[in-house]
Amino acid sequence: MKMLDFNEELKKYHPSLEIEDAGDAIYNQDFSDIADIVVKMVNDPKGTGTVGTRTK
Amino acid sequence: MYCYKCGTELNERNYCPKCGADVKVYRQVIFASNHFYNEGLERAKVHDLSGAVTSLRQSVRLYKYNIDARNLLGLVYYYIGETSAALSEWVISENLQPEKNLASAYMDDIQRDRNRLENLRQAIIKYNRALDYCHQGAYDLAEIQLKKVLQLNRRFLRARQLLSLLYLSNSDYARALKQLKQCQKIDQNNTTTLLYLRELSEQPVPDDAEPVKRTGSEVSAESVKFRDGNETIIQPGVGFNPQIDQPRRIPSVIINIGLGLLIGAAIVGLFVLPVRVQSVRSEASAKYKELADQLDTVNATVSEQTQQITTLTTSNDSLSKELESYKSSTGAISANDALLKAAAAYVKNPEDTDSIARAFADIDYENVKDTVSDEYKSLYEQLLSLVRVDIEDKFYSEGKDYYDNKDYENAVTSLVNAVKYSSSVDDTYDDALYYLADSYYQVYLTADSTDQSKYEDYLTSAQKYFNAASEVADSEYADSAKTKLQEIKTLKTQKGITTDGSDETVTTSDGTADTTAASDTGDTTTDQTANDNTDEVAADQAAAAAQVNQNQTTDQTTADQTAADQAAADQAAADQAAADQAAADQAAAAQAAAAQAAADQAAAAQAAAAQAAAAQAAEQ
Repeated sequence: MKMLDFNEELKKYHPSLEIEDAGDAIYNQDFSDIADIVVKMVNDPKGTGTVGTRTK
Repeated sequence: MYCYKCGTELNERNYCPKCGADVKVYRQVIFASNHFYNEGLERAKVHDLSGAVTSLRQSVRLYKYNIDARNLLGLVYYYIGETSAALSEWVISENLQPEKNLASAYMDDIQRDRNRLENLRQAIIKYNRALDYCHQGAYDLAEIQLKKVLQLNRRFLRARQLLSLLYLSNSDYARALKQLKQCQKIDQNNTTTLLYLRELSEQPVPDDAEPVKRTGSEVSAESVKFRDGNETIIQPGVGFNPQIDQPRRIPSVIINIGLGLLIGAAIVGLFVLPVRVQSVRSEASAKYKELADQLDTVNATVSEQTQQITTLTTSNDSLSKELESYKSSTGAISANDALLKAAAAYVKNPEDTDSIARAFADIDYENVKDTVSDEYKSLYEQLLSLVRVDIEDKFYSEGKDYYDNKDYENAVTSLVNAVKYSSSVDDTYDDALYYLADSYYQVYLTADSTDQSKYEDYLTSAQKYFNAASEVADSEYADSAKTKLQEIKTLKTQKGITTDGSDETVTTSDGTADTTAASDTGDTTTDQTANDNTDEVAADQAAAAAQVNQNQTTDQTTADQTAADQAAADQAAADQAAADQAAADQAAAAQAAAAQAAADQAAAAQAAAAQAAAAQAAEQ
């Protein structure tokens, strides 16, 4: 292969998450979205830490 | 869209109508999330799944509560074989919105089919294993594992791309191309796929390595060849595509099947059937031979038994005839009965001349004397000697009465018996002969002219007895008898009757008197036996004449002579009684013997008849 480097291409392949491990992945996932950031910015524009909670 | 602070539903304004919170930026974020969701949806519709994933991930990153985006993202992950990612998204979606959520339905559908879930799980495990093999340099093992992965989950995009990469690294471009085309079908604008395809297009691919697309529109008469890995496969072009050529193959298949059946039938007919037929024929011939032998045996038995039947039938007939002869009126049984009857009548009452005469009349002694026993003959002669004179007198007087009354037929019947039991020494000997002959003659003469031919025997008998009467010495009837003879002769000549009764003999109790030498026609036929009998008759006549003279002398005597005669008669009666007693004893003994003999003969005859009947029954 001239243009493709097999090893380099191979590095792009990661192991697939197994079904049994999906629960841990979900648990460890960060669920912060942009909306949370916006809400945080609106509630605490100065960044004092008092963000408050957000509804849906 | 709801207020992030109080949860009130927002309107088109940039602040919450309830709590007054600034929702401008918040709303823009949500709008952006929706925008990316829409974009992801559009890409998913055209099978640009990679682009859809990008957009949808962006959407949920902006607004995590975008449930539709998250569900769609999970669906796209599931479609490209990323089962765990899909389940993660659906689980998160279900947690964010527990009710009225499609994610629940998706997960229920997967978990319901345990087999499919297990296949998906195994596909992931094998993919990870293959990836390890690749890192270890065991590309062949990785290839094998990846093929198994694709058998479990044919839409596992990453696995198929990895397999393509392995083919590319191995310069197996055909297979790589094949796999990449499948990847394109799954995810059309996948960058990795496009990259590999570009790499593949830049490689110098040999002409025979390119697979020929076999479709119905590309069928030609030329052969079709394609490269499958390191092998080149050449197939005939016409009739190869089963989808197109199936109708053409059916007649040839049928023809081949028919040919096969014909060949099989020919083999059976040439090799199997003749052997079978031969065996059947041999069995049949053996059976036929056996049956023929049995038939011959049966036929022989039948003929033997038929012959036996014939023999038994003949024997039965002869025994029946013999039995009938015994039973007949002239048979031995009948003769035995008659003699016994006569003996019984005499024993019962010696003076009962009528009964004794009737019984003796039933005895045809001349016909049975050769068949009966000596005891029978002895009894008969003894009994006859005792009753002969009385019987003869009785029959004569009876016959004379009939003759005088012109009852010539009954006269014949009685006088025949009189002659039968007469003796030449009897006084009425010539009388009986003459009257008998004349009775015969009168019967013939008195018969109707149309019936006289039936009585020709009577004429012959008359001739016979006239002849006998004419021969009796010193008979008063001699001349008359001769005259009658002449009349009969003339009459026979007139009638054309040729039988001559003058040659017949007359049977009496003391022998046969043959009168063949005394015919008027001058016949001089001599017979030694006849001469002897004539001498005997003459001697009897002389004795009878002497007796008559003696009787006449006796009549002319005095009373003393009469008394003497009476004494003599008494003595004779006493002698007669003693003789009768002896005769009765002998008759009784003879009766018993005769009865026994008759019984033995009857038993023998019955046994023979029974045997014959049994033989006939057995044959039937």
